[in-house]
Amino acid sequence: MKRETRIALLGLLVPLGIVILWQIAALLQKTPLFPGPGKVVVAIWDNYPVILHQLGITLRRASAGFAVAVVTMIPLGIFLGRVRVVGKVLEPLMDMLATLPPPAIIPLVMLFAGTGDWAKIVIIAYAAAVPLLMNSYEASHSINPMLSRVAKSLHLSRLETMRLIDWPSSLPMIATGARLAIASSLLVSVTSEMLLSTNGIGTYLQRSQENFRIDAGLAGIAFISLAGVLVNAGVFRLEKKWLFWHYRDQRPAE
Amino acid sequence: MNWAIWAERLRVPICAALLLGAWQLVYALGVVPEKYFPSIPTIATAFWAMLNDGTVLSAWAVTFGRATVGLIGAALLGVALAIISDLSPVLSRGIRYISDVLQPIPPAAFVPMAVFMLGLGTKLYAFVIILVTIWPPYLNGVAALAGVGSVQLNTGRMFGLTNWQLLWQVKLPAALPEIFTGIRYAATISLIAVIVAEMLAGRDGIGFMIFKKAFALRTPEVFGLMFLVGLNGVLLNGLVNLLRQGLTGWHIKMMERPE
Amino acid sequence: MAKFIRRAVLGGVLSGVAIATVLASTIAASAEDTKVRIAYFLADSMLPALYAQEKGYFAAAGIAPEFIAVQGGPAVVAAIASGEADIGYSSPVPPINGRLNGVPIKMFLQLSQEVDPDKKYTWLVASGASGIKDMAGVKGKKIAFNANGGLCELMWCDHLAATGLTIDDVRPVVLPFPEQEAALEQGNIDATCAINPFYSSISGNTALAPVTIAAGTLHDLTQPLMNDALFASDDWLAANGEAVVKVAQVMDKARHELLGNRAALEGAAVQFMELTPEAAKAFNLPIVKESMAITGADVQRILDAMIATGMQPGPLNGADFVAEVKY
Repeated sequence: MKRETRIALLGLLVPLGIVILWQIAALLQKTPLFPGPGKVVVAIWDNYPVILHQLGITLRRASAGFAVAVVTMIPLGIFLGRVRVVGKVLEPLMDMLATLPPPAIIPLVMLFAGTGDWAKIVIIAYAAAVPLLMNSYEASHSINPMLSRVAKSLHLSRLETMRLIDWPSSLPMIATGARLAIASSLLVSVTSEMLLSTNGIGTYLQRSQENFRIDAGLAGIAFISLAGVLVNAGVFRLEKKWLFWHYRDQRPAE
Repeated sequence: MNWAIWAERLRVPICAALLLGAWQLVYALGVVPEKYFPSIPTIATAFWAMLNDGTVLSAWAVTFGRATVGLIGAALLGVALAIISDLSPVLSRGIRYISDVLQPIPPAAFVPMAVFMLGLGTKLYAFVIILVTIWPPYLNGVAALAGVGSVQLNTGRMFGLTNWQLLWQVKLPAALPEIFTGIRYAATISLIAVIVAEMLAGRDGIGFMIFKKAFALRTPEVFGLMFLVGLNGVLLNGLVNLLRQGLTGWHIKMMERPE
Repeated sequence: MAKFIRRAVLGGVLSGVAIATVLASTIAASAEDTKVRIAYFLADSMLPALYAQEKGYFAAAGIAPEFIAVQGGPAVVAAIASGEADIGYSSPVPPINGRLNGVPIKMFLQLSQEVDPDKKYTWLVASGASGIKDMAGVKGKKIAFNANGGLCELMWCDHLAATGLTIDDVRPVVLPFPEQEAALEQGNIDATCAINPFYSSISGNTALAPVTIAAGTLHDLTQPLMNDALFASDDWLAANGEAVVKVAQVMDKARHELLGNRAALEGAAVQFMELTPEAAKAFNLPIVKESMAITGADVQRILDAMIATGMQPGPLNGADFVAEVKY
């Protein structure tokens, strides 16, 4: 434990070093368009009530979009993985949809969903859909054949196989997909707000940039990053808690 | 299951037909005026014209080139970081702090701030692509290197391999398949990042072309380019898959299980 | 072992950074004096510059321009601030905001103006379905403009103020120009601020039944109002006085040619703005004043409007934003 703490503390030197380099570079540049960490801290202090309020709006949208994606994409992914031919055939379509950047599809989404909350939720759901779909697809079609044979030799019914074998064995991979999907919902919620700005942290960033308040913009980015770190840590803990058996089995014999 | 094999072989045209068919259906239903949602033939005609005057090809080459170079750079850097992390627990922790903090930030948020410091040129692209593309190869690399079985390592040690040799000859090859999964994911991200950067701050490439056509009210061209972007994803994934087969063919062969 | 690698890696990274810095500075230093990089946001009044380049007028004056098209006013200022470009072209609001936030730039030429009664090139337009008939009718409605801190935001604020409303009385959404017409027609927004070619497309759309509720950036246009500006950093202006005059002379020549030759103007509109030949027939350069010179008073009017609508705290002096050029 002691060694762990020491590593954690020593490790802090790396980001600290980068922050110092950044500060030095900023001091050398002497322009408000390249603010150093000091200026950003001041901007955080000045703007945090606004930023927190806007971030709240963004996080609500991100959760809604993620929820929509979970409800629709996990079943679809499992279906595609189970019905192999369909899944295989549709792979290029998934690849194609995965590479369309949000800014490119926004005009299209706007035609059908407008400029308000729904448009953004659709875009977020679209971005979250990709990892969820891919991972639940991969998980359900690559279940270890050994497990299927075990199920057969135990004479499990179809339903029992699904409940006792398929579901738990694809869960870790789906969880990974969910983690990636949460990350992309956060990313894309900000992007969508920058491109269809009404409110939210993305709009705040856009406004800061268009008014040349780079320090305020970086303060906003700092909060996005903080939200990301907290959400990821939370998800990781939940995953450990719910999938403890998977992590236990994964640990190499010591 | 003969038809199944054929379906799989013809999957690219099938997918294309599905997509175009769905588009055409929405068009035929007339939910949205034609001006904003043109038919597939209109889009195809517009695209064909752009193809003929050469503008789309050169823009495509620029974008795809940027994404590929960026991907290679980011993948090499990511794997290098993973190796450093494998060698030193302290640096590993330090890099992890940075990746935790930087990962949640979208490229679209970085671009507007970064243009003031980096301008609108190569520096900006390099910065944006690397910043968002480096993480999947890095994270997968760290996990894969840490996951190399102790049996393999001990065998290597028994043969008297030094730490370097152990890394190059045992650990890296064993970790390569997982690293490639990360690179595949990164390929998509790098393409998206390039196009986002081009749309927000670029002066050439497909992203800028989309922007420019939109401002000239040329809707069919805009959608034509959007389809091209999607096609890019299929292409880039194909390239990464080829590379993976070349580098880690042994692994794929071993993983092929009897059905 | 690990320590050695750490050191080697650090050393590698640091020397890489050092080499990159040296390379970057040599490249910058080797740029030629007559080379002028112009970052611009494509708009009608920039046509003469592109036309002059095509005709070789810049080369004849000993100037080698490089045109860099970017996506908006703030990006133009960013190009100047990062040293990517020497001269910028955009609406006057981004350079004003830029200077107020520490980017040392000054405006030195204006290319277009608006004035009563009919030389107006920005419009507020509502869809028929919104039920809006005049400025007072936008209260509580969803309105759009293309960017924060731009001319269109100023236009909304100013016209709202003239009817006794503020921006808080409407629901604003920032939407790029190309998406506005579709948003109007689909009922996603009720009214927007448009420029050409978007305005002519919207006003020609019968399904939309458009209602134009205001024209001109400010409600008071009895005097000509500058609509755009060429600007550059203080340092560059100080060091390149001769080049600035030459650029102005070339622009002047091209403007006169295009104003006097309808065919050349339409050809340039098709070539550089990708207008269809039919659309080009209705195309006009938004020029009111023959002279391109800017005075402090020109900028002061915009500053006063920005202060009156709360976009900027006052007081501000227009002359601080201008570098006068005699050509």
